[in-house]
Amino acid sequence: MKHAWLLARVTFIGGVRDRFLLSVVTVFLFLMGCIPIFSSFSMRDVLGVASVFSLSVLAAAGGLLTVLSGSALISRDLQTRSIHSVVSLPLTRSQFLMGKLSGVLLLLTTAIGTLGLLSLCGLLLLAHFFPPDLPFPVVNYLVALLLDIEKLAVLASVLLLFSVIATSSSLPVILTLAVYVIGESTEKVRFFVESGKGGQTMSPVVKGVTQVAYYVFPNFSLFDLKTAAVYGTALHFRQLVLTMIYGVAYAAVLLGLACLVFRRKDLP
Amino acid sequence: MIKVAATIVVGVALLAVTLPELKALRKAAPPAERLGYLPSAESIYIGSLEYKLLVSQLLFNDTIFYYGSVSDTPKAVPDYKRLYLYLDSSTKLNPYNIDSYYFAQAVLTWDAGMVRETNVLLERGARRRTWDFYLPFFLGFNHFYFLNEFSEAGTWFTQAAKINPSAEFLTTLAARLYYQANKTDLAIRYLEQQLRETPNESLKKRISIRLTALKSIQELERGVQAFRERRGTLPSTLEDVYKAGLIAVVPPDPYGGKFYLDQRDGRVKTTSKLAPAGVENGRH
Repeated sequence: MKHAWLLARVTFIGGVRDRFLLSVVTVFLFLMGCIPIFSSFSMRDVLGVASVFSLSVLAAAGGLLTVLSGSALISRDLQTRSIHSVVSLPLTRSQFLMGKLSGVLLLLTTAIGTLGLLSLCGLLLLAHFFPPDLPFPVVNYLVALLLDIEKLAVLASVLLLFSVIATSSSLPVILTLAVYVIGESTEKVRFFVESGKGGQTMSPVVKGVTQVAYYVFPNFSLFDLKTAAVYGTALHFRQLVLTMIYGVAYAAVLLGLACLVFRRKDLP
Repeated sequence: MIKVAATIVVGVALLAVTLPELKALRKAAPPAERLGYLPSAESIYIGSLEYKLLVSQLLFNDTIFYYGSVSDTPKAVPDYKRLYLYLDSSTKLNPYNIDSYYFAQAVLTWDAGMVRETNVLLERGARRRTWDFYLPFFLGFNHFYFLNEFSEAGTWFTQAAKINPSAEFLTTLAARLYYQANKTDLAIRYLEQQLRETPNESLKKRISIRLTALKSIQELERGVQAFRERRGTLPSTLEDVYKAGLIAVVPPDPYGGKFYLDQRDGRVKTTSKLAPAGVENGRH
């Protein structure tokens, strides 16, 4: 495990040194700078609009960072054949994958956590100048941030699984983006299909596919607490705990599958 | 080097020629084209992924940008039905979006006569924004002022007063309804409050015009009331009130209409129906 942790640290440091992290952070800070312009169009809820914009940019930055940091996770080691020097260490292939994933998660947590806290400071400052009707829901915001990071962890696990299956670096990225889109909409589609309007118009085949997709793909809607973070709506403790368990379980299953595939993989 | 510089100069020159022309063409395009085709709210909801709050705000921004540009064009009438579709989708994506409700209340009720449609939006918001007294207040105002539904108005005003007990005018409003309180007085107080709180310049301009018209009506109604108290009967026309020296002048209607006294209910009204020229379904 010591070597796995070492690998995680190397992956983290490598990620920090990579230029894409700097690019994403720069774009994020630029967009954060645009918040006053965007929120100035609001008539009655400057802070609410600023929070919506901030959380949306944060979610986009998180997704981008996950895909960019994870895209070359395995393929780079395979292409440069540096994986041979790694597997010569007293390290199982499963530990290698765990080390890689841990490194990416550490990078994501540090980056998104820092950016999220920076945004929070900005929003609290804004709340001072534009006092909202209700106090700014700091706890909700932090919980939303936490679940957003967990969602990224699930997404990184998806990317890891595709990375060990595919040999190129672009295919896992495309497949992961597809899973992201499906994961973000599967719950909405399912609820629509089950509603009166959707139930009448949708064919049984579509309904069946929707049900299967709901259980196979990750349900990312569960991790979306933006409404609670912006408008201070009540958080349900039981739902939060179940969501966190769901996220960990889903990531664990994907990691397990990735380990199974990687064990049998012929290294070049 | 010279070739590069020439390329840049030619590029800038082409931009300078094309952009103003494109801007004019875009501005002259019909509303459907300028606001764009809007898919169903369900499609937008599913397609917006985790950005439904952001998309809701962007739809709202589209409506105010479009409305602002049309308002600045003389005699241009906004496509209110399309504006409503945008606000409907915006509030379905984010039922907490107060900006969309506020804009609908300020524009769709007064200018487009879409009171019942606006009430559907406001009720959607009132169910979610349980801490916000404005939405039940707007609903109460609409039922009272536009629809003459006093019982529903009383219910909404009472709800608004419960949420914000410190608003003195709200606590007495429900009771005043039973005495058929002066509608014009209420409308003026309502508009003055809106004018104070609206940062949007296009809206401010519209509200100011509306307020001027209503203040004129209030002044005329006071004159009519004084005439009735003095003579024991309604004047035949507003000129009679002027001739009796009870008003200084019959002011012009800022909407371009003419004020007159409705003999059926003794209230001062205007031929413009307090709606901008070219808009049907105006109201008093």
